[in-house]
Amino acid sequence: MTDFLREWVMGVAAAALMCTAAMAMTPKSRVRGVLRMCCAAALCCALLAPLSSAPLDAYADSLARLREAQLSAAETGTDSAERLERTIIESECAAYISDKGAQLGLPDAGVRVLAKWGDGYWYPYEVWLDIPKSDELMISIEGELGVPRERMHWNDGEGET
Amino acid sequence: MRYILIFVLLAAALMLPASAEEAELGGALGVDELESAIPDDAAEIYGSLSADSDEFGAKLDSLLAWLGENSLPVLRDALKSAAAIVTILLLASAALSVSEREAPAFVRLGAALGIAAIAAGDFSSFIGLGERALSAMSDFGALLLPCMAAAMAAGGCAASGSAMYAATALFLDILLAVASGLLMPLIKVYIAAVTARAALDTPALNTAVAFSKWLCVASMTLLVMAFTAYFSFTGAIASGGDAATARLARTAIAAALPVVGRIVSGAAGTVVAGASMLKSGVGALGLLAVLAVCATPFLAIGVHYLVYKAVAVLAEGLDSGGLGKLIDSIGTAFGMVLGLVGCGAIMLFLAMVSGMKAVSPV
Repeated sequence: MTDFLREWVMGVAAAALMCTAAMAMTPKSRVRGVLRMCCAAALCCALLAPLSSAPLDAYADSLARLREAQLSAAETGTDSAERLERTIIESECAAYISDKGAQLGLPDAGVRVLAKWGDGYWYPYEVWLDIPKSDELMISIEGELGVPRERMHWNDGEGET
Repeated sequence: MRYILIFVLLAAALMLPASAEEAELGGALGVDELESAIPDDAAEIYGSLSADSDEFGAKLDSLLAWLGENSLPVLRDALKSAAAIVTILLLASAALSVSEREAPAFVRLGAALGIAAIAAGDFSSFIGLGERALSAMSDFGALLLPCMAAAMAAGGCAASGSAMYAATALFLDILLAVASGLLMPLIKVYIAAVTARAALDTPALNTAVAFSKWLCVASMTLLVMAFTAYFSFTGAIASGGDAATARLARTAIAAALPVVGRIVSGAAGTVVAGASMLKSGVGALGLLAVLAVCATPFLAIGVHYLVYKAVAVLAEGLDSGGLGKLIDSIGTAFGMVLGLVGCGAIMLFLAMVSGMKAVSPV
C-alpha cells in the first residue's frame, strides 16, 4: 500500500514538473493554449490511472486480520472475567457452607464447590465435604444453595457417599 | 440472631479486596506484558509505569519536570539556527540595497539556498523524530489496544471494546502508511518547492507549493475526522449490543434462591469493579506513554516552529526580497510534521478516554 501511494504521488509530481517545464519553455502563442490542454489531460491521466491497479486485496487481508485480533481480545476479556467470577462464586459458596457447618457444631468441613454455567450466570452445581453426612447441613445446602442431595458428596471415613 | 450472623459472615466473605481480583484479571489480560513494554521515551521520563490510575498525577509532574529540564537546550539549538538565518537575512538585505540591476537575483538565490541548508539539518532530524514517534505509538498501540479491549470486555463492554480496538488499530495503520508513504515525502516536496520559488523568484511554483500544502493538511484533517466519525458511530452502535440480559437472569435466581442470588451478584460486581479499576489503570498508562512519546517531537519541533515563525516576521520587516515567505513556509513544514504526530496521539487519546469512560451494563 505504501509503495502504491508513493508511486502514485511521484507519478503525479513528475507529470506536474514536466508540464511546468514545458509551459515555461513555450512562448506565448496559440501553441501554448494547446499545450495547456495537453498538460491538463496528462495530469488527469497521472491522477486516475493508478486507481485501476489499487491493492484492494491487501486492504481486505488487513481488515480480516484486524477482525480476528479484535474478536480474540474480546474473547480473552470475557473468558477471563467468567473464570474469575466462577472462582469467586465457588469460593464464596464453600465459605458459606463451612460457616453453616460451624454454626451447626460440625467439624471443619473442607468444602469444595463446583460451579456450572447456565442461563447467563454461574451457579453451585456439586459439593464435596470432607465430613460424615449431616442431615441438617444437607437440608440447608439444598434449600439455600439449590444443590440437590444426589450431587452432595460426603466423606464418612470409608470413602465418598 | 442466626440470620444476623449469617448476613455478617456473608458480607465479610463478599468484601474481598478489589486488588486481588484486579491483579488476577490483570495477569490474565496481559497487563504485566504491557507494563514491561512501555516505549523507551516513557521509560526515560517516568522510570517505570504501572497500570495504576492513582499514579497519574505524580507521573504527569515527572513529565512536566522533564519538559522544564529539556526546554532550554532545545531553545538554544533553535536560536542558533535562527541566529544563522538572521545573519543571512541581514547580509542579503545589505547586498540587495547596494546591488545593481542583475545582482538581486543572485543574492536571493544564494540567501535562499543558505537558509535551506540551515533548515535542512533541522528538518531531516525532525522527520526522523516524527517517524519514530508514529512508529513507537503504533507498536505500543498494538499491545495497549487489545489490553484495553479485553479489560472493557471483562467489565461487560465487549462490543464497545471491540469497536474501539478495530477503529483505532485500523486508522493508526492507515496513518502510519500514509505518513511514511505519502505525507513525509510530500512535506519534503513542499520544502523543495518553497526553496526553489524563493531562489528563482518565480510565481510558477506557487501552484505546486499550495497544492502540496493543501494535500498534506487536508489528508491529516480528513483522516482524523474520518476516525472520529467512525469511532463515534461504531461505539454508539456497539454499546447497544453490550446487553444487560445477564442482569435479568440473576434477578430470576435471586428470587428463587436469595443466598445464591446475593453471591452471584456480588461476584459479578467484584469482577466488574476489578475490570473497571483495570480499565482506568490501563487508560492512564496509555495516556502517559503517548504523552511521553510525543514529548520530544512536540518540544523540539514546536520550539523550532515558533522560532522560525518569529524570524519570518523579522524577515518581512527587513525587506529581504521574499525570504521571509521562505522562512515562514519552512516553519509551516515543521508544523505539518508536528500535525502528523498529533494525529496519532489524538487517535490513541480518544481510544483510551473512551475505554476509561465506558459504562458496564452489569
